[in-house]
Amino acid sequence: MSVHSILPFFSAAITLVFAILVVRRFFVVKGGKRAYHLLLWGIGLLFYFLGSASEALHTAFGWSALNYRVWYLSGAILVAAWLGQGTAELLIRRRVVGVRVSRIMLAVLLGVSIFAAYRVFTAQLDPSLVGAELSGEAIVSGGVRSLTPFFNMYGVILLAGGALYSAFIFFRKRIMPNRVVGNVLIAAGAMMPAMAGLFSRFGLRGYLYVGELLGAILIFAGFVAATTQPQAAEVRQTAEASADGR
Amino acid sequence: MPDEPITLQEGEPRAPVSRIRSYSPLFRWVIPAALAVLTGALVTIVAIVLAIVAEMIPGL
Repeated sequence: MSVHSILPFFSAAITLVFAILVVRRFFVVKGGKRAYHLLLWGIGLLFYFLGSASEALHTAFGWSALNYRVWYLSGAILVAAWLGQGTAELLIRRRVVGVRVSRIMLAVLLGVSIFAAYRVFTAQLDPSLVGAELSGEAIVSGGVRSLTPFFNMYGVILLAGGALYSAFIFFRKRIMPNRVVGNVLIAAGAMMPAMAGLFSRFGLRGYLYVGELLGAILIFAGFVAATTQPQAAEVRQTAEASADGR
Repeated sequence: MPDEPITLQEGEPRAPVSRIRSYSPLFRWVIPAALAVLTGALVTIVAIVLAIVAEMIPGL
């Protein structure tokens, strides 16, 4: 087994731990409110885990049609979109006729995700077109692979764009440096699998698993940095500054 | 993935928060450069994906 082929095992382990931490955080109610963006990120990370675990299973046991379908649906189609939906839930507060825009987006995403699941699980596959690294080429039915760019564009714009926007806001306000750094890492991590996926689509093999692992590490590191409480001394100084009216 | 990233209003933050007190090289150079590079990368990715989508649509 080559070093490259064991990368999905690490990605799966990291994303599983990450998903558990995020979902646990969701169940902590602050001020009587649940943070639903954490639940959506948790779902996105669960898809990340399923995608990586499917790659690891493919490496360990070879081709399985069910495993391939789970990989394509979760890893290639849904992961970025659902992570991005978490960011939409966090950042988009606007309402239309009394309904939050992010909830309308969620309903649409849920609908198209069910449609994508139906298309992936009914698609015809040709296992002879798959190499050591999984790719979408084994799907021979038309109209399935064409779904992927839409989901991924939606996800990467929201996740990476949202993180860059948040980083810029904190940077401009000169507050919470941990969140500036954390969001920069998240944005970088969000783009790694997207770039690797594009390389794979253009026939440049061997980058997908590396991109996914780097993405998982960077997003996890960014989340830890962004959610780490500032040091007590810094908080005290800021509190004093606020009390002085500075 | 920050928690409550833009709930702070213009002016003073509502709760005690850490501030960037001095402009270390990280915040003077690395962060602005990273923001610029990542924004460029995001725009490039979106442009490539849009080109892929356009290729899929007959007649475009």
